[in-house]
Amino acid sequence: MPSSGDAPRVELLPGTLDLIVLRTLTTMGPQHAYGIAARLAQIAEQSFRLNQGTLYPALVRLEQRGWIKGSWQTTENNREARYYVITKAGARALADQIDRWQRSAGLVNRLLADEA
Amino acid sequence: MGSLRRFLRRLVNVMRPGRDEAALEREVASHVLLLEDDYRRRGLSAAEARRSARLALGGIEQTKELHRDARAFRWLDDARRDATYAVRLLRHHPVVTVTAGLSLAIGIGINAAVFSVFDWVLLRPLPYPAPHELIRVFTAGTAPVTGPSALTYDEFTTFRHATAIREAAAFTVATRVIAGAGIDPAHVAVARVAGDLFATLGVSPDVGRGFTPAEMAASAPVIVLGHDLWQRRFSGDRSIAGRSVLIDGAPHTVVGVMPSHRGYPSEAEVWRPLMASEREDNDRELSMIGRLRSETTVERAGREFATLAQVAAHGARTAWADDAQRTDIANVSAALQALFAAAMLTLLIACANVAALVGARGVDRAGEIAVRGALGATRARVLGQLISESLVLALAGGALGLLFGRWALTVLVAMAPVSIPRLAEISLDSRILGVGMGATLLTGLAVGLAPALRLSRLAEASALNRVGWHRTTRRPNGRRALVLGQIAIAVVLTTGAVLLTRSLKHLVTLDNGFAADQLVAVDLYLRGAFNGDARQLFRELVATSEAIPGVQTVAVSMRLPTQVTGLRAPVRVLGERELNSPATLRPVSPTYFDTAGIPITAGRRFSNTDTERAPRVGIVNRTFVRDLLGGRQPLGARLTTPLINDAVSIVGVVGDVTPRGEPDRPALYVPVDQLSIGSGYLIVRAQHDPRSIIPALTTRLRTAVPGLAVDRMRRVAEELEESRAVTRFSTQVAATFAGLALLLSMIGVYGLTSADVSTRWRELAVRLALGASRREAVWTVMRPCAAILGAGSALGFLGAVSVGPALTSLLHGVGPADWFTLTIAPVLLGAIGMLAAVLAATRVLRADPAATLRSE
Repeated sequence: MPSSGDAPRVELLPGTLDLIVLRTLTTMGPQHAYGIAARLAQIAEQSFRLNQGTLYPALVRLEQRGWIKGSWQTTENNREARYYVITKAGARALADQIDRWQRSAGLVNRLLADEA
Repeated sequence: MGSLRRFLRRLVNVMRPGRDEAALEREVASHVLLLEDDYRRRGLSAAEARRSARLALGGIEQTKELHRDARAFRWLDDARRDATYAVRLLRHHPVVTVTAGLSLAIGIGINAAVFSVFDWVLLRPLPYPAPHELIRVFTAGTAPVTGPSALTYDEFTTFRHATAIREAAAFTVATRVIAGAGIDPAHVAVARVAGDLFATLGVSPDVGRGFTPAEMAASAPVIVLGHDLWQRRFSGDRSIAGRSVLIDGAPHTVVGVMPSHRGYPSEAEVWRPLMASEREDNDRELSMIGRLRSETTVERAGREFATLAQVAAHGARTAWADDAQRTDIANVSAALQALFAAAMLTLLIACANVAALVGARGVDRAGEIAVRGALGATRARVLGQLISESLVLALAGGALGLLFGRWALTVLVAMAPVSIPRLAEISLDSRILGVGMGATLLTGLAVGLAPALRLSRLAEASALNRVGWHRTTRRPNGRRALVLGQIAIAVVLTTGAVLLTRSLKHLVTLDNGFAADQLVAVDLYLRGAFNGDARQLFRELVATSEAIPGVQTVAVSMRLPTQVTGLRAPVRVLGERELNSPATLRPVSPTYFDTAGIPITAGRRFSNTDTERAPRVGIVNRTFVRDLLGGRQPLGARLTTPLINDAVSIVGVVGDVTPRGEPDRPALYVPVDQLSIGSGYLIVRAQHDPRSIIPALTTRLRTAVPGLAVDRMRRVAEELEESRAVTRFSTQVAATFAGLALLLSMIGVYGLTSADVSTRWRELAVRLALGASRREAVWTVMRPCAAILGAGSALGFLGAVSVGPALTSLLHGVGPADWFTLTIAPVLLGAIGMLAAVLAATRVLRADPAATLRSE
């Protein structure tokens, strides 16, 4: 993979990108890939840099699983873009993933607290 | 749920790579536009915005690659792309591609065809339920010792109650004539059956039924037809049961039709219960087939039969059992195994060649591979790409090969001697195709793996450096070993082919003792067709046939001149003791010797005056004079034999007949008028081509004897050719293989030498520049080749010497250790190999060494 930046950046944990995309779509409603990326950058506050292109595998994966659905629409600036919405199956999967994330994060946090 | 759905989607996407690509293009383009819009809104120039947008995305192509990766299966997609690339590459090197593809096509095709025969004849179980339970039973005398022989009816009735078998039957096959309303009289092989053959085999007739116990007990005139005969003569009439046909003139009722290819023995065309008279005669003519009980073995059954036979014959006979399929294929399995081995060797040579060709191209491709490696391709990727090239080549060769194999199979089956069982069933079915595909893929891997492994190493090394590449070139020892092996195999195959060719030539040029070329023989099987004085009929038939334009002479004889055996009878010289061995009696018409072309060496031939009422006369052959008369003057000697009621005066001596080189028996020829026969052969000598008189002859004979079956009218030469069929077949096959092996190994030698020249180009140029003569330079590249040719020929010679004895049964008039043959093949191959090497090396003669060195 081409290296894409000089600033040291925080790597996303494997699998978390799916969770992030699903969550973004739930809270913000239908979004195009750029919109999702922008939202991500906004939340991350420059703490990690993401090549926006790396969103695509996650989008493909989620769409193939039937968790999100894409359709072509027009942006407010009259550009065409592919908007993604979360499906019912996606909502269920998100709940599931959040639960799993919280459990594993909780474990790690507890572990770190003990060590400290 | 989602995972399975995704898996399927990815799989679908591999199949249609183009479909989502457009959507992806559109989406990425829109993404970039949105980014650019944003950047411009933040005050960047158009160009800056464009650059930043691409940067933020992380590269358009990279993004697409990520998308593709997630969308389909990367490795599958890669494989598809590798294949496309391979096809393009192969199209760019048409000579290499066509040579390699054809080599593989020939190798795979020959193997598919030969494997079909091998599989159907040797590997597939007989087409009956639980075929391993089927056995054949044989007997032999122990005092005196005799060879394996058939059973008598009494023996069969004893054996059929053996505890080891559940069911048993016995049969004897003979030629009869089938006729009836709307059927042209024709010869058919009729199996007369004792016991329940159909129950033993586990098949029942397709149409109608088998024989009832009452019909069997009463030897009722009922018949079951074979599937082929039913199709051919009765156009597959399904309502045939109950129809009456004539067998040898006697009415028989059709009760059933056997399923296709399920009749046993395979040559039988009609089955009927054994006749009462045959049961009473108790002749040793029955073949027994039995079905073992599932808990017993062939060996145990054999011991039981042996005991039963010894008890019944008071120790004078024994018996044993053998697997039914093994019995049927016993005399062809060795030949088929040799055939299969030869086919495999051919494929091996083809593979070696393709490997060499692919490997040779590797030298030219080192640069390309190195560039790929430098651009980030992993070794695995390069390996995959190289292997897919050989797989594509193998698949193309395999597809072509299977087409070629289908054709080769029909040729093979047409050439094959009829003694091979199940010949009619043989076809390229899914099983053979499966094996063919497997062989193709294996071949692809076999030829591609070694060069690919070697080349792909360059993707890791810094092979871009030309000097580095030169240093990594190893001497192509692997390829030399391949070519050496090829030559050895080619020598073995060529030796075999030459031996067989010489043997065939011996058979063709063999003196038969008579002139077969212009003879046509008609089987005069009169039973059921004619009930009068056969002598009178024979005279009429001779007269009517002689009147046909193009006919030279016509005769009647009990046997064909191709058959030396016949009616054996004890003979004694009048007033002396019985001669120490019986003679063969040969009833012939007066014109026989002239028609057959048997020379009269002393005395006279028979004449029209040697009639029934005239004094008995005879003519003996040379073997008779030598073996039975001890060389004394035969003319005027008077002989007696129980078959003729008066003493026979010898009036002439004729030459021996030695068809296929078989030695003649002591024979006493007598006029048909003086020893009447009920059937025989009409032998017709044509003036020119015997084929031209067959139609007129058929018409005349049909008119003369309406019920006569004239379907067995054939050239006598054809009969002789048939007896050479196995040898001819093996010769043709061996010659084909040897030719292919020769061709392929020469391609190998050429390829090796030219690759040698390519890799040593620089060294040669330096040598030439330093003043070496061109001849010396050529010799530098020729030397290893000559060494390989020498070693390969020697190895092949040793191989031929050790393989030779396996051919003995196929050889006539030449031994397997024939020094001429053993020498000619290695010498020939060595010479042709050197020629190929010279052709390849001549590039050195034309090159300008300075130009070569400058290009470095």
